[in-house]
Amino acid sequence: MSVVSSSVASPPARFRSPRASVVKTLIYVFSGIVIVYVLAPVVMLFLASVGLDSASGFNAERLTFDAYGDIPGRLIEAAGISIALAAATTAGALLIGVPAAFAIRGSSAAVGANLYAWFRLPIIVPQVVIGLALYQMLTLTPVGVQLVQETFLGMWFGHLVICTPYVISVVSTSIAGVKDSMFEASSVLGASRLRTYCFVILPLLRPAIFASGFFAFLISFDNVPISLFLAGAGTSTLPVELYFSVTLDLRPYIFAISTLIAVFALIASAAWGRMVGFRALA
Amino acid sequence: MKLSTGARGALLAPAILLNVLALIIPAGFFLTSAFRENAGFGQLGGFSMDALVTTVTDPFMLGLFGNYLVTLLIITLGCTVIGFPVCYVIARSRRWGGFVLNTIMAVSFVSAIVMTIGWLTLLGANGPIASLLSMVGVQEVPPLLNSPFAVVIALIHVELHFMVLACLPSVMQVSRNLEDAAMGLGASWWQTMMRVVLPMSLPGVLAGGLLVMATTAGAFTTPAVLGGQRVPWVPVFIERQANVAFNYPMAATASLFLVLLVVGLTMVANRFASRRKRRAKRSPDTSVV
Repeated sequence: MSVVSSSVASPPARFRSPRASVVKTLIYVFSGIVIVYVLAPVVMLFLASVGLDSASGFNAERLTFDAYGDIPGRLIEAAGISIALAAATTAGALLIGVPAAFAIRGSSAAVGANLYAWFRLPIIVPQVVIGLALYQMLTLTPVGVQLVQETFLGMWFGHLVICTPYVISVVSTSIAGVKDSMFEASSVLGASRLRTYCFVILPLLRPAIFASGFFAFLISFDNVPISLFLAGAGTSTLPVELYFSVTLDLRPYIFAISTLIAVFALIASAAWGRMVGFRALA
Repeated sequence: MKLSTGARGALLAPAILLNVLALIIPAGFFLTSAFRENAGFGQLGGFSMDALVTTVTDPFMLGLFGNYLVTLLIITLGCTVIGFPVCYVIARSRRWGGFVLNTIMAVSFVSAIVMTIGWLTLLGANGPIASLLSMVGVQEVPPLLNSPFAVVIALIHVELHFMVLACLPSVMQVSRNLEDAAMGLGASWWQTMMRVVLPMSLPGVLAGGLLVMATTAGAFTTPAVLGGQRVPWVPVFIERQANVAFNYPMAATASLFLVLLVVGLTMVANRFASRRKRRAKRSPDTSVV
């Protein structure tokens, strides 16, 4: 009967009996099924975009990349709008969120916890409610109606309010990780508070700032509920266009552009995993 | 490092202002529409309890909320049943753990609408599942889209990574030595899981489950596309009431209930999460992972 097992030297106790190897196989099979389940829609998107679906009987000869060339101008335009909006949202979220994170960490624990909860509110409230409420408020006045229909400002506002909490969350956690000795050493060496924050602490926070900015970009780019309410006729974002086309007009180029977005997201997550690591999101 | 009140105020002002202007005031105003009369075409009349009374008495509304809550529970359960073993695999398997985590996280970066389009092709009449069923000999393949089944499957898929991220720290905290000790003392693998690993990771699992429930409660894109008109789902109902029926009081009433539900769930989830943190501080971390 084994009592002590080093996890490096000898195989763990659980894998010594024949019955345990059945369990091990089951675990592998289970993981395999989960992986297939998780990847299935993405793979299917790609297959559909190159013409491989049941309608054509999965005929490899029907494989064609035509759909990628067919993507209409309005979708490309919408993609551009989405990117510009996401960039503007990221800039705003960082400018507003990073100082707020500093303020949270510069407060006492109780006050900081309350502030933190307050800033997390926009993540908790369902986006449909946020979008609808903003739309209702903005369209009370004719000026507001014009604002919503012709500019991005309404959407930008809505995206900003849901993205800033992520910046505040990630950056304030990162600030908590900066040792007090950094502040002390800097001030002992003669730097003023402002210099300390700008030239010592901020560079240390670069991964967190980048990561949270990236997150904000992604959330803004992908957003449907808020953009649905606040997009005007000429300012529709890509996800909203996709949402409408799904119900009205499902063509191969929809799959093509969806695959492109999915590939972009996968690459982005690989970069994220390399640079920051996913356990940081736990 | 403490900051003066003035400095803190200046740093916080934009963020607080943003919250107040873009969330508190609009949402507050919107939720008070629940107590106004629907004057048609998006106009609001005077004070009226009509919308509220309808919501709690009308059979359709009760059915909507009832079905919605049941679907929500099924999704949460599904996420937990799949998510906890996945967490275990990630925490314990040296070879595959990283790969599984990376795959789940990579897929979570893909937008909801794109993922939903993927499910549309997968579950559609021309999709592989339908053709698989007809190959096996099922004569009348039931329509998989616009059904609760589609919504459940797709939402579990979308929310799984929240569950995994929430459970993972808890499961990783359970020291491998404890499992070995249990098995060394004669417990089977199943007994070890049920009597040792699961109870110790329970706060994390519960927090994760509640978090998934709160997030899924507000989900819009996936149920809207995959459920269409058929599947009762409160956020979709809210959007339809606002954009199609122009009935703002009804939309606001449903929103009120939705917000109360989500805030309640989040508060309970935070209670469990802080319990896990307190437990982590008390017991020494002897994890070998």
